Amino acid sequence: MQHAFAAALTLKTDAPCGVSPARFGIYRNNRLSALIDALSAGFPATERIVGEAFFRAMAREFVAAHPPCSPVLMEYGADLPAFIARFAPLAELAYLADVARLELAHTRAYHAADAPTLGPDALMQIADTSRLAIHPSVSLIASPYPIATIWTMNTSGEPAPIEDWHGESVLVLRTNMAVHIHTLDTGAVIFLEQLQQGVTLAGAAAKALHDAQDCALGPFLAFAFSNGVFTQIL
Amino acid sequence: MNRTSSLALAGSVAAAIALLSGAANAADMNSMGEMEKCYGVSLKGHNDCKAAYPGATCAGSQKIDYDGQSFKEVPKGTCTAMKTPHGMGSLTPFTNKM
Repeated sequence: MQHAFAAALTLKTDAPCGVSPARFGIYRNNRLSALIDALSAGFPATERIVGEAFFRAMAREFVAAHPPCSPVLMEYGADLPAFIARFAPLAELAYLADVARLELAHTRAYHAADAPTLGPDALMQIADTSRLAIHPSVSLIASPYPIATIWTMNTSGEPAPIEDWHGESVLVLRTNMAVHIHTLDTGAVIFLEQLQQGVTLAGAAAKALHDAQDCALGPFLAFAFSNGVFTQIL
Repeated sequence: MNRTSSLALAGSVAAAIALLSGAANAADMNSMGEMEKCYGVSLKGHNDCKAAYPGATCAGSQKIDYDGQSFKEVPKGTCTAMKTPHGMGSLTPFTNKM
């Protein structure tokens, strides 16, 4: 009965035996629109870029291909960026999957666990061999497209032509109970990626300064230690 | 004693400390954390809380874009500089213009 019910929910079969088809139809429709609404709430910039009609039609396809694995709706949509990347009608909007990734990271940062953070004082205590634990809300999204600019225009601003079309790497972070995004330069991205992998500070700095041109880590360290990027010296 | 002897790291840490120790920067840092309620700037579903609707719940419940009754927490001093299709952000709730 449960299998038949679940199969019928995903529009594969008719209403299961013993259930009024009309009432089942209402339930099935409510479930679908609740899932689409959840995606719409989680990916507002993506929706604004493609338009509501397109977004809802795409979300319908997504729901059919990726039914939720968890009863927690706020976790729904983790596969949407990858779905968008493969979704043929969106082939021309190559940047959209990365914008969706940014939105997913934003939602995750919002719900991530709390952790005590390292303040500027900790700059005096770090050593070459220190490793730093990174705040649970932190995500790093490196994109060949100006995703921070696109996201900002489609959430708090007005879309406008982007004259300087270049890749942007975005740090998503919750500071003081609010989620913020920050663009990072290449050196800071390499440095943070190394730290995420558990490399020591000296090792991460050496790689960043070696791989990135004109890289100055000072401003990033100042930013990171005053915005709670790190939680612990290991 | 300087504990960061790696050339790459020591320079960066010194630069970071220099950046953070300036008095002006310290003031910036303090105000960075301060937020204020800004009405009429958030998009539907993106408000932090609702002000005045009876029976209203809270964050994320806004039904229309740039609702004058819903606020978003924004960094202090930035609210009234935010441009929306209906004018600037407001520090107090206002009635939506049709």
